[in-house]
Amino acid sequence: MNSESQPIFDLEYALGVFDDEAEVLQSVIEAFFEETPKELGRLEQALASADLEGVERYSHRMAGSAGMIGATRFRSMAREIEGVAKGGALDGVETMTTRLQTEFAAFLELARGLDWSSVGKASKP
Amino acid sequence: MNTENVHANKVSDGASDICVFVVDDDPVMRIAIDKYLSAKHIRVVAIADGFDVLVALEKNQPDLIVSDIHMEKLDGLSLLEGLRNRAETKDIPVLFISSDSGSETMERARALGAKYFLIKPFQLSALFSLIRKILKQTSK
Repeated sequence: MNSESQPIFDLEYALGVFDDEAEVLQSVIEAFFEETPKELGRLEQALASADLEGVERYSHRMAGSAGMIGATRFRSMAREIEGVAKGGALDGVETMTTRLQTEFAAFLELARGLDWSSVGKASKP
Repeated sequence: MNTENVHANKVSDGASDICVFVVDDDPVMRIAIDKYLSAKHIRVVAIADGFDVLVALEKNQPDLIVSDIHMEKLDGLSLLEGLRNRAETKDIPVLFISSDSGSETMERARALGAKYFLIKPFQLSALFSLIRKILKQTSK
């Protein structure tokens, strides 16, 4: 499926992964916000030095954690980059990396804008 | 060993003395698993690379190792090989968590004696259930 057709934030899916523990999910999402800019920096560096293995590694890693927390569109974009690098080329990866940064910002805005007190087990009587 | 990436959570209520090593080069994945399992009263030692497991083993004897496969310094399969070659670690069960379900990796893992796999992304409750199942099988 094309990344554009995926939701930016699939909260229902993420709650399923975290067994409806919204507080734990929220803290892991915050860890994602802290770690991902560093990973994006590593990805850019790897790309600048045409380091195929590095591009594959960092995009693979970001896709893994994004998949857990429902950052679906980000995950899909990271997987696309990983796939291209795995194929032995970096064609189009620069544009894709820029889009990955845009998807990160979009996910951050949605997740931080959420009223977490109304989410998951904590919100239920 | 990178001490930033290796930490142990003490069991607060003494409900369990189970110790699990969680080995993954993705810090977010480590945090997610650590937080979830710690809430289930499992003592977690979170480790960033297979190589650092060997150092952590000097201080802790885990009941189970949950490990990623693809890591930079020492990957999960080489880690398994290393564990199986040492008398004191050969019986520690290893559960692999990876998004690589490719036949080549799986075949190599099985050839090395790997029995337990969970494909990423997975539900944390599924991880917890599998951990309980493995510990039961290995009589903990």
